Amino acid sequence: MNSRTRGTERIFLGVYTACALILLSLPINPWVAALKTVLIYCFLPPPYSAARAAGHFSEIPSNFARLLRVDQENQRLARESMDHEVAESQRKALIEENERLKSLLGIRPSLPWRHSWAKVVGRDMKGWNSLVWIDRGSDQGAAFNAPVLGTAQGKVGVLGRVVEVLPDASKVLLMSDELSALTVVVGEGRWEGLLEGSPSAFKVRYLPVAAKIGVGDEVWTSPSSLTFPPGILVGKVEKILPVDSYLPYREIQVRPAVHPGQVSHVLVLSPHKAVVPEERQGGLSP
Amino acid sequence: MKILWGGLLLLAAGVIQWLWAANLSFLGPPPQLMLVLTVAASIVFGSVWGQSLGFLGGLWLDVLGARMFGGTALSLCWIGYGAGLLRRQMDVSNIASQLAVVFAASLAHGLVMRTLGFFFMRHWGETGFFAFMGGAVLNALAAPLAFAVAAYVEKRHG
Repeated sequence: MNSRTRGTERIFLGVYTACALILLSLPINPWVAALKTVLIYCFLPPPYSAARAAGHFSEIPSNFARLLRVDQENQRLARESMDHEVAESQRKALIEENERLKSLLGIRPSLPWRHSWAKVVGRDMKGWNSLVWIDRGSDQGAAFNAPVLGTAQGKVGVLGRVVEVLPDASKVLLMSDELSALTVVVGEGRWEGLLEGSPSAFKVRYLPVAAKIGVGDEVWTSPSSLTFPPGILVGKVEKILPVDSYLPYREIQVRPAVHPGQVSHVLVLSPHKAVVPEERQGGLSP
Repeated sequence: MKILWGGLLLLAAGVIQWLWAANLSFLGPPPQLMLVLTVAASIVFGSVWGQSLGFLGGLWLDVLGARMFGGTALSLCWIGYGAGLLRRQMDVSNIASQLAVVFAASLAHGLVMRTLGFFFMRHWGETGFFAFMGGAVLNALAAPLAFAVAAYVEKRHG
């Protein structure tokens, strides 16, 4: 038995030694290279998996700390959310109070606006910056004189208004057309003036000479505009023109917030239909 | 069942050695657990087991390494055979003798690897004397654990 065991040991020793010497002697032999590749596929996954698992375990403390921070932030956000809920309920109460007071005074209530997206499907070849065609017509709710807004660099700005409505398309007169005009307010002082369209830069006329306006002030649609809802960005003051001593007002140049060449999709606004209570119908209207 | 345990021990030794080398490099090179396992398996299970684990473990290290494919497998196979011969000559049941055997096996492994390197790569290796001896001491320190695990497996499934 003992000699048999020794024989087995020697056989194993011989086989293993022969295999190892073959591998050592023929390192660039295709068969050895193939065997090495096979062994790599067999032997590499365990240590790699272990290393990845160890990496995950080593991240546990930092993940735990992050979890604690997230929990604290969550509690803070929950408190802020409650504050916002209170503010929201106050806002609703104020709106209701505002509507009630308006109805008591007989002031026409401001209507909420709804919007729909439209795609620019064509441009006028003769006046590239004068008008565009959009794929929304009367069948989709577009109406004559509906305000059209564009977006550029994450901001929404005035683009133009609908001047012709077909069943499936509409023609939009752009603010950059010389026929366009819009009442606007300028800067913090909310000086009101009339903006006239131009392909290069808008011009605002009829501003008081004493108006304190600076370059970079923002220009918004005015509450007195019959077409556009108030508070929509039109552009920024680019240049303050010198006061003409013969004119009782001053003029400024405005760089548009949305250039018509940038837009591919537009927002078409339309007011919700007003539901005017019967007792208010006889009231005064501004 | 014993084959499964042998495979698990081999896997554990390789993974620990890899993880040590990857994450605890500031402590120096890891103990050569394949070598320690080979010696422990050879003395507790028998020479054939030691040779087989040594050959497979060495092949694994050679695959993960870049040079001398088959060198570690050959060295550990011989170490396994030598430890099997030693098993009949001395009692390796106490810790001191286990430390001594693994320490000697580490020196022998280092010498074999350098000799193989000289023959197959014309290079003796550049490990300094103190690093060489330090590695052998580290291997010896890991020996009691490897022998205890091997003895446990032998007792359960031998």
